[in-house]
Amino acid sequence: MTVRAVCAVQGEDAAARDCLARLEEVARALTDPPEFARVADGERATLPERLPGYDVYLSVAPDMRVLRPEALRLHLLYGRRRDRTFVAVPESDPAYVTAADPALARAAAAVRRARLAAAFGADIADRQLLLPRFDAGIVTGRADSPIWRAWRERAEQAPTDDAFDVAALDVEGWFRMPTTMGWLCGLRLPWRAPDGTWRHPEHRPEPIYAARLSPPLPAMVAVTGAALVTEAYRAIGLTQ
Amino acid sequence: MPRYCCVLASDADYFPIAARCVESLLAAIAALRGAAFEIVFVSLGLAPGQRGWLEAQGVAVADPDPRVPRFAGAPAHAYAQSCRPSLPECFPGRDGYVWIDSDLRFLTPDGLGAYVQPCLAGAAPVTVATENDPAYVVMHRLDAARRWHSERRERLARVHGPAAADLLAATPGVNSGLFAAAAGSPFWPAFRARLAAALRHPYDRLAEQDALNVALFDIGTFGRVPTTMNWLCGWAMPHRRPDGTWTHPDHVHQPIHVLHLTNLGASYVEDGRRRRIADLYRDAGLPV
Repeated sequence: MTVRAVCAVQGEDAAARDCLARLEEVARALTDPPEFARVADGERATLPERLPGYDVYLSVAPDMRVLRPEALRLHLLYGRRRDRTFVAVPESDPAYVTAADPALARAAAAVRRARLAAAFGADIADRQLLLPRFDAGIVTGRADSPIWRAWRERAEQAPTDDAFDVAALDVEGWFRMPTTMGWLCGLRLPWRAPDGTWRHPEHRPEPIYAARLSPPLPAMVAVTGAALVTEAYRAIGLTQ
Repeated sequence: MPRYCCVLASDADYFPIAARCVESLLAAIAALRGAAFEIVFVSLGLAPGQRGWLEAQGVAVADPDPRVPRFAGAPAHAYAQSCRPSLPECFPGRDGYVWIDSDLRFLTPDGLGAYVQPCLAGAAPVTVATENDPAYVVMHRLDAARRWHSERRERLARVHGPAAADLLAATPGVNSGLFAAAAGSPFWPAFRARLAAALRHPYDRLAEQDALNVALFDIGTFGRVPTTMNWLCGWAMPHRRPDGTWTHPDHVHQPIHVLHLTNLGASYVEDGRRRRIADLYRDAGLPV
């Protein structure tokens, strides 16, 4: 049975256009590529309503750069499964500075808890801290997945990426992607191999399939050096 | 050349498991350069034949050191935990030490080298692996995470105080089944002091690991190796390639260098039947 899928990027700016262009480029390697669309800010949580008629939705943040077709292929493959509510990437690689450095881990958890408690209440904040944060950079779900409603409702409380993280634990039943399917460059730069490909900084045979150019954590910049961070962001695809 | 001492311990019942660990360790040592390794096996009641097998492999056999403090009322095999901070005193004269749980399997020489190299280079007071791989059940299942955090917090608060429990609440756990440190590292006295606090409480099988975790905070830094250098099979089964080698379950390009066959003596319920973890591992082809 043919599955209709759409990959929607949020935003109208240059970053969103570049994100979309990269997605369309890597999708050429797929035998059954998704359609592509752009949605306005704040509409990522409501894709089935904004773009009706598809079976599977991929919601992509404009600072996400999909580097290899496997990322799209696997999101489409796992996103259609009826035994899972959604597909996403946890923010939990042991190589991230917020996990590798105990002091930073503690500081990051305190900031996260305060932010969540202010937006969603102390009970939700405590629940969320039991597990690593889910990143909203690239999320896939079926049209009838409960994640969309949960995400929309949480986004009404706080229109940030935290809304997705909270919605994820509201519905559970996710498919967890490896961190290399949505590498958070702001928490640790990937390693660039001599052949120009980007790799996991500690598991160097492992390619980075998709990288999110989120604002770099100051502590990461301090350790890595601002020039290196800027150079890597540009090389991966930063346009702004 | 620096001399490093690898220390294991087991009783007679557990010895068949430990012997496979020794075999894998010997193979890893044979391929490593840059340090001279010796293996000392602490006998917690080994049979004469078992001691003889070890000696035939070139492994020194030692008896428990009476100076090592023990948990009151603990089983005899708990010595394998309480001795860990005292390795430099029990086996003096070496440049560094590696503690090795008997349920470990070294699949590549890198599995040992990655621990020792930072110590040889003076880059870290101790080298360990964290317990925060995203594939581990405690990192992606809410019920498992809730239990892990709750139990850890309760243990830490009881033994080391609420401040220490708060301090460690946000940080990944560190596994004490495999670690390396130079003889003069500040890690040893910090670990000893924290274990001394734990010894004043009833025995808990994770008390020694908690002590190590708090000690790492006391000294302020540690060397971290990837989780594939101490893969906790009880929290996520590794992936087996067609060629029989083991990899990370999500990063299937990434080889596992050291398998940790945790909870071998435990059991679980599947379809109403109680099964042993050891049988689960065997069925999966893991080298039990």
